Amino acid sequence: MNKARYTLGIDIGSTASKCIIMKDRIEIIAKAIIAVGAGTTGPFRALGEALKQAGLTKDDIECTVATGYGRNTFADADEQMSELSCHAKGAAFMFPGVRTIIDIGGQDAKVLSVSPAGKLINFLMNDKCAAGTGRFMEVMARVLDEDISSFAEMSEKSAQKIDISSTCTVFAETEVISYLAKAVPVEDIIAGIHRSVASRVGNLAKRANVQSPVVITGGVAKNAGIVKALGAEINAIIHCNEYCQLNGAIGAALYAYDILLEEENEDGQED
Amino acid sequence: MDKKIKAHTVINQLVQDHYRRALSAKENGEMVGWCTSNFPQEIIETMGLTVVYPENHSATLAARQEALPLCGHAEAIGYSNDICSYAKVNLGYLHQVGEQSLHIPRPDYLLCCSNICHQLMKWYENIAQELHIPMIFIDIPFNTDYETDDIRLQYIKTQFYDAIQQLEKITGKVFYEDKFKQVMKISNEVGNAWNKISDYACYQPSPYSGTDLFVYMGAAVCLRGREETRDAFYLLLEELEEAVRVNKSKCRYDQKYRILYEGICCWPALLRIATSMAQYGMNIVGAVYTNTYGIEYNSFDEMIKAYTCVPNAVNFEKALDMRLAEIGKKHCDGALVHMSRSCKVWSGILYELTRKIEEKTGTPTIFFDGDQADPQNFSEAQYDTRIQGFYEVMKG
Repeated sequence: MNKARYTLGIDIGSTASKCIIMKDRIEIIAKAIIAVGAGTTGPFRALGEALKQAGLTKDDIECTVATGYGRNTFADADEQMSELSCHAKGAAFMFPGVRTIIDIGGQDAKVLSVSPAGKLINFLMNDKCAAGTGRFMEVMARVLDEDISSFAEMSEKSAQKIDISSTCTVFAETEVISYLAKAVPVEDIIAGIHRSVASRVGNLAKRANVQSPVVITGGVAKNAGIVKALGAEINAIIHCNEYCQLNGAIGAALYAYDILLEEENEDGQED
Repeated sequence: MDKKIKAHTVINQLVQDHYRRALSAKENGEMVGWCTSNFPQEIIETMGLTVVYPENHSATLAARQEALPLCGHAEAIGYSNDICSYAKVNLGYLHQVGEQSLHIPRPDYLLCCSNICHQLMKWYENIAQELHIPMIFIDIPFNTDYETDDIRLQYIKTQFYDAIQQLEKITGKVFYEDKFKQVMKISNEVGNAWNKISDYACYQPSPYSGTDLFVYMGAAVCLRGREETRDAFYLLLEELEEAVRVNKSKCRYDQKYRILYEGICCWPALLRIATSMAQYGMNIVGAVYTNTYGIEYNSFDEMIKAYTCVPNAVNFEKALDMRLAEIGKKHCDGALVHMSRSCKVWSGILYELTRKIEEKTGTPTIFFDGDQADPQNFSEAQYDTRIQGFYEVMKG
């Protein structure tokens, strides 16, 4: 029986560190998310937690690929890839046949176009500022004094449509405060926030010429309210799963396996 | 043994001498003008006027990381953050000449042509009013048609002669027709040489690094009516010919991907762009931006027409054709698109332009946010992700 081969993907984002260990390219055997990202202890904690979960040590990992904003500073990586390619790879693994991936991370939003074979063929990213990203949601949760994980459920109770029109996060925060001052129900404000993000990211997706199937990844995808609002905005069914925040790390672990195969092929040719 | 001076050194020296000459002319009591980059310089050379080009000065300071305090100062005295950053750097400089590494003399008159942008007009008007100096304006309006018709040509020609008369009054210098013909001939040779330099990038590998062309552009902007510029460009052409013959490029890395650079140079990040090109085996082989200064013509009318065909003055269809021609001729693998925040004229067409480029050529186009001079509008981490993703898309 062949020995199991383990590869590791780590996605060091601006607001969270995500780590995945895969066995033989097909099985996810460990996953970890630490809520702090690049420049913190987050990456090492995510790595340690994933190794512990898998019952492995660093020596058991044959190849590690780092991605995300902090990809260039992770010393344990054998290679680094952009999160664009890693998200494409991860989503194509999770959702075979996917053609469009919308990734909303901590400080940027991306729309990736993927070939029928699962290759990244083009992408668009948010411009000018980080409006409509995870950090925007965090700011809104703070000003509303609500847990972000409750946003989706609360937005379902919205009875009145209100608009958050400012692109700037700080000004949008002011708009939210003014709604609170006018005693607008928090549920309505949250639904407005979801539509605000959906509008901005949706415009990006429309510019990228959305093709179905569409998949959403990134931490913001955990909010079903955003996914629903975005689906309405771009008039498409948007697929999502429990690994949405780990998708980049999954792609990185898959790339790590590809690297192993490439190295073996090169060794074979040399022999 | 005499070692032949390289074109790179000669071109840099030309631009340095241009600035030195202007400063010393001012010290010696000569009148000095400030001039926009696509003003018909043939008038200036014919009359033997001394001018500097604030756009080039601003770009140089931005590339040397000296723009930020000047932008800040312009904003502090009341100019909006949203105006052209070349203007901000220049207006800041006008009010706060200090420890900058490159200086320009204060102007005695202004020469402004609206073919590249209409904000220039307000920028120069403000200076004219503040310093109580004359401003000569040639209006070359945006052309909604593909070609330049005779009515437009006539409108511009009339202004051309009027500008000469005004300049003769202001400076006391005379415009001689014979000299003008000679200057047109030299300018045409310079434009032709510049276009040939650009065309050398058709080779694979390109014999030079595309970011070098941004640097050489200084001579094309400031000195394109002069024999020494023609000779320097001829020297560069000799070097490129030799480089192609021996299959050796001035670009020291393996050029795997041929890039169209779209937009104004992001001067504050020029070094980062150059290093990222090397990091991923990319080379900029095409740019409508640098081609702007390859102005060629066979007659006075054609010269006027050439000034109506600079990038920001042409209609969308023509602008698109310019890009498609460049992509086709240079066999580009992808287009790196600089969305310069403070150049609304250029940036405004880019979404549709790139959509059409992708549709017609299948070439991937990747945007990055930046600015021609204000470093506040560029995020290195955001650029790095985009450029790496661009590389990964082309790699497949």
